[in-house]
Amino acid sequence: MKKGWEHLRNDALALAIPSIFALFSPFTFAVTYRNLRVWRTYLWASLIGNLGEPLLYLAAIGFGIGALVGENGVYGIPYDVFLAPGILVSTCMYTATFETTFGSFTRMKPQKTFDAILVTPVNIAELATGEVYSSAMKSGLGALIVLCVISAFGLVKSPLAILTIPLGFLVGYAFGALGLVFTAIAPDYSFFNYFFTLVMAPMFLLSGIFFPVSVLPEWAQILAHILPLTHAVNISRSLCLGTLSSDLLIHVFVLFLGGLLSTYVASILLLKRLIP
Amino acid sequence: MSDVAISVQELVKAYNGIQALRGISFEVYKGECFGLLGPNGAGKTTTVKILCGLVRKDNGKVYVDGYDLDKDIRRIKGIVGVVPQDDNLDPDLSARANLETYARYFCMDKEVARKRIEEVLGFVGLQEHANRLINTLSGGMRRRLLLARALVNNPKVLLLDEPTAGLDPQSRLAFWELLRGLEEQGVSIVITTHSMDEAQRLCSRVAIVDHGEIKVLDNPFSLIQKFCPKEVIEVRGLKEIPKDILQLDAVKVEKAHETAFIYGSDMDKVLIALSKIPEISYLRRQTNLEDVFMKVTGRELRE
Repeated sequence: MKKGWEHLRNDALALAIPSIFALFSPFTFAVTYRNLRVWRTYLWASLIGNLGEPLLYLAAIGFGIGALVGENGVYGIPYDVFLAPGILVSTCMYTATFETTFGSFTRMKPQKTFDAILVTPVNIAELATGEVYSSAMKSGLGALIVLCVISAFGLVKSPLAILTIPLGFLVGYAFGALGLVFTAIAPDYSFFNYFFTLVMAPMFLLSGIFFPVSVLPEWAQILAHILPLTHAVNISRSLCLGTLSSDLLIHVFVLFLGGLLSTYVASILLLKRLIP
Repeated sequence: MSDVAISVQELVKAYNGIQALRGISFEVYKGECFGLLGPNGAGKTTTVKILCGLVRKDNGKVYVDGYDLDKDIRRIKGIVGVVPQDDNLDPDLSARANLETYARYFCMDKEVARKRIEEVLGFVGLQEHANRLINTLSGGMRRRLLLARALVNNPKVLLLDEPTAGLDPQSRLAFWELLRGLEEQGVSIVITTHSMDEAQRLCSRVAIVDHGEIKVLDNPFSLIQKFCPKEVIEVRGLKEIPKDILQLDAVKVEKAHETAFIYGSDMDKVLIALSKIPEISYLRRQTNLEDVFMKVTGRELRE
């Protein structure tokens, strides 16, 4: 067992620098290109998937709960306006994590695409980063679509909201990477149930999408601030309402660092699994 | 040294304490087709996977075209083509799109890649099917496409892991012809196979691997000469080997399940003896690589 840890430590050391280089490597973009090219075939199905769920949430929760909350809204913000930016980033989160869990697992196991890639000059860090980037691209497109919808309903109050599109990319980067970590250790598809029930669902509910984090008990507030989605919701809401503050940079940094570290961990685990 | 394409020295690998390779060494010369034979679990695939970077060795040295695998793995992967045991083509893409995405992994210049893709499609005879989705191609076509994909980067070394398993005889022949063509172009080839026929036809040298070690390594015909008499008679239905056969000079008998293998150089006397025994069937043939294989690795089943 000691030997196993030693191996893991050596892999971690060996991958530290390649993981940084992979951020800009043409080999990384080759992997992303492959995924986007395949994705083109299914573009319409995934667009409708992207559109359907947020619409349902906005309709059911936004107008339903919104009616209960009444005129005062949340600290003076109408409930549907409060809700919409959170729905935007949660859509991004789910888009990206689906891509790097079910999508990546399909490429890794049944299709053996990863094996095909790893005999070429592409290294494991570039493969992992390329996978995460393609989930981020999807996520960015998801942001664009939701933005169009919520703008059409008049739920966006500032032109700064256009920046939710790059934000969608960043959120996809962070959560796509998290999904890939779970894929690297998943024995089969059913494993992802744990991920979505135990990690994604609590995150979705506690990150200040449906109610401000400040109404939670103090211990739960601390927990909520650790969750990466809370940071994404804060940025998105600021952009849609046009209320900028310097905190935004911290939130952006947290998301980027989360993505980078998760991709790094995923690379280490994938290396152990795919290149024994 | 310059005529050596691949040099493998004392390769050692264990998976979870199970020793897969116990010090394998061999060299592959430039423009040669080198065969790795062996029963299931012997270590052939592990050896090939180490060469293509899908398994990390515990010990030993590997040089490909002079590059050290420990230092220049990216360079080595750039000059190696791999035809894997399992079909891992992209099912969502057309034949041509498979090659296009694959060329990207080598960061090939777009124009060079475009030309090369048409070239390899033509070489394997798939130009007319290039726009078809993978799932609509036959098994033989998919294998040829895997070969085309392995050739996209214009490799100096080609690694093939059981490339013709499951193919019909026509497709197999066509595949062999392609490999011979590549050999003539100077590509060095390493192939693993369970088909002794394939090894005997294609390979200038073969290594028979068992229990993670190379047992013998030579030209197939030299191996046959060295290990087996000229001819063998396979006899079915024989309950006991008759004494008059056992007493003959230079005759060796092996039994496996219901079949007896009688090896020797002067088979006429054996045939006369056999013709007296009722209710048996027999076949006289020249010895081949399969006989060598059985001699070296034994006849018992591997689980």
